[in-house]
Amino acid sequence: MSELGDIASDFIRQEIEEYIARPDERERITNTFRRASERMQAIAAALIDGDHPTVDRLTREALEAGVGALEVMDFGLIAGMSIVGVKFRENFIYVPEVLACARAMKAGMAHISPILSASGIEPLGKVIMGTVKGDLHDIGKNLCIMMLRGSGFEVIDLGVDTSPDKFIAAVEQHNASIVGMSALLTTTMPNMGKTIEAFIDADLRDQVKIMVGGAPVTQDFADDMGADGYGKDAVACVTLAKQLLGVAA
Amino acid sequence: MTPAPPIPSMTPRQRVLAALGRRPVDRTPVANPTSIATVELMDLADAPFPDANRKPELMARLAATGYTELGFDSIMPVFTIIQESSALGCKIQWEQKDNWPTVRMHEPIFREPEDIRVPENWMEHPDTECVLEAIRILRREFGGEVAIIGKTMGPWSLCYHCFGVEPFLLMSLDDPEKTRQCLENLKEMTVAFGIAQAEAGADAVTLPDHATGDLVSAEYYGRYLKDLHKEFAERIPIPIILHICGRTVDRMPYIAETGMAAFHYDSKNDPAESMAVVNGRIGLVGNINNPETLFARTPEDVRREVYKNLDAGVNLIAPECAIPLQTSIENLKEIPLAVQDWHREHPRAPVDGETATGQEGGNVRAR
Amino acid sequence: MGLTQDLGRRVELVPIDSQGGDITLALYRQDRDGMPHYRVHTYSRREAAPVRVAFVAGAMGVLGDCEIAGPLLRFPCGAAHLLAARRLFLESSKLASSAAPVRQPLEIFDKKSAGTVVVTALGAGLYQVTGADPARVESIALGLRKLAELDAVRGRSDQAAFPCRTAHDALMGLLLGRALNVRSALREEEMTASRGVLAAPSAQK
Repeated sequence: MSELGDIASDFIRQEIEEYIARPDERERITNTFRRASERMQAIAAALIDGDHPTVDRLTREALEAGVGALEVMDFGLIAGMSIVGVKFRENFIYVPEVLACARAMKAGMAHISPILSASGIEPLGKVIMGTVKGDLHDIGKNLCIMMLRGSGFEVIDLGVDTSPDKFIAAVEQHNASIVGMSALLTTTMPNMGKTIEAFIDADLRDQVKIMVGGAPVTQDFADDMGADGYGKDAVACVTLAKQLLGVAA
Repeated sequence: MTPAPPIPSMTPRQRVLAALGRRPVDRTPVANPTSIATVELMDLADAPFPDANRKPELMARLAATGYTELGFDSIMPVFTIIQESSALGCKIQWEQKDNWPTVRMHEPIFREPEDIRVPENWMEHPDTECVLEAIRILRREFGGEVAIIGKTMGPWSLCYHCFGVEPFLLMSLDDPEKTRQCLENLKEMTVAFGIAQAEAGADAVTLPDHATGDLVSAEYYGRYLKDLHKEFAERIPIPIILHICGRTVDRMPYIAETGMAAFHYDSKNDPAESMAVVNGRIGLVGNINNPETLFARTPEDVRREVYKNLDAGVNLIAPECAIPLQTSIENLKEIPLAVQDWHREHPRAPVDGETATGQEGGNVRAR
Repeated sequence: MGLTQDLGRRVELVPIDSQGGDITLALYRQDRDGMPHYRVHTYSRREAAPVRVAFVAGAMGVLGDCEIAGPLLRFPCGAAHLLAARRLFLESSKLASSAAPVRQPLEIFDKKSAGTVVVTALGAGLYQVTGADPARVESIALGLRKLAELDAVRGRSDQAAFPCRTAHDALMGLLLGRALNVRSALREEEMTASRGVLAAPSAQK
């Protein structure tokens, strides 16, 4: 494909060809990497490989060479994680591999975060994230959190098995504008609806935007539950969060 | 076609052992490789958690209700999965009557394989000795009437407890050799506890070893655990029922090669598909859903799942895992009732060369 | 074999009755003569257990204006009112056996609106909520409907109706206290119900 051919890194091209089947995802990810420099593609490749020492080194070198922190984050780290997210969802990789990629992301972000904070960049918004009641999976949520933080959001992580009241308390305490709920089990998805109802009961529904996501969740389900948006994956979660706040993508 | 000869009525123990050996049975047994304790049964037996996990008389008394009250064909007194980890020194959160004791895995006790220290007298630790004594009590009380199933934790699960889940999973990727060493260093506990329970009177033993598809690939099971489980099947002198929660159809081909008697499988896996995959090489036990069906739905829903398993030829019927402590008695009692009714509705269909219920191949032919 | 009984369908559970020596209390539903009946039950064989069961059943009788016949309770209207029965059981089991259950009035002070909220029986099971703050009135009426599966009344967000179209003043009084903060009422139930569900080591916190 001519678009894929524009991507310098053989590894990245192969990852996209082999693992990104959905046309919309393939298009978005391909376009991202076409815009990424070779240096950024190398960071992404190391992250996908779970190679945290290399991500650490390459991130440091890129910043020292004058590449902007946001560019490294968007086109190196987040771009790499977008492929990891898809591979995990499709069961090409499992939790050990995802943990290794998350560790690599963390290694890169250790250099990025201080720069972003020092440059006085205000968070785009505050997001409360949690896996719903009864659900103890958190990898998807954690990927979203990394992406959100990496995109400039302040994220309060409530962890797993989060009751509606915990979501409400967190929104009140942090004055958050977005709530993100994750569920990886069909049996726990209804708790998303219960949480939304809880916000209604607490007279708080109009004060927050509520987004939902997770492997079994669909747009239809999100609409039925009364959510404001649905994010198909960690990358889409960031796009959605920005849309909900009216921030440029 | 010549009618198949009737199978004489069996005791619950005979039935369970025959099914685990994939030999003819008079009807499919109802077993519990995992806990069927509930808060109401705790009241009935005056044996509440957490004490029922720590005192052998209470443990035996509560466990016996599975047979005397619910009509299961087995008694399994090891309600929790913390015994060995407690003996190793893990911190345990004991909780109250209405909740499970858990290992505090966020406070791991080991970081490297060299850290693993198995105390010499670990089976004399109160929590492990409790299991052995409870089995002795049950054997004395029930003689050869009912099957007694023990439990010995596999090394993968012990590593979760002792190292923490995320650190251990990262280790499994970063350093397979180190990971193998950890498993090797802990496997003798699995074997020794299994043997000790056999000597105490257990007829079979459940072996939880949570290499679940929700976390790791089938290849992982093949790489890290298949040979270990084969070894356990050779060294532990009673039938082993392997237990792994979650999606496991993809690793059932490996599991079927281990020589263990049966695999206790979760409701995320379809009964017919699972039976086709194991194809008679290992028995299947399961797989009534816990959090929805047994806990929150009706006896009619329970019956439907029992029938689905029986229609598929599953060898022993059981809840998929330790049941929620608030499960209703009527839902639990429905399981053996449904099994009996199914067999009445499906008198044995004779097939040349096949046994009573077709259990040997696991392919029950229903009329 | 066995000491367990056929008690019908269990519809609610108090796993640890802290007012009753930590026994487990259950509410079972049995249908007799085509009518739904309820029974409070415990399998505990402690000496004090029958007294505790009798107290809770008696409290349900007073607080919900139920008819009592032996171990069984029913609503006089003959309807099940399942959700309300469960709520009645839960609230009754919170009372110490030394306390005399007192029927709750149809008015209550609402902290959030700093005023009194009144529920008026309009007849045939229809009730109207009144108070100074319209938003709170709506919220409380919604809470009442949720707690007992009451019917909404078209065009009247301040009203709720029992599907049986019969007055249940005592029950309304009980529900009113919880309707002020329906979230905390539902949260209690959710928290209790979620205890005792075992997770595999990989899934434990």
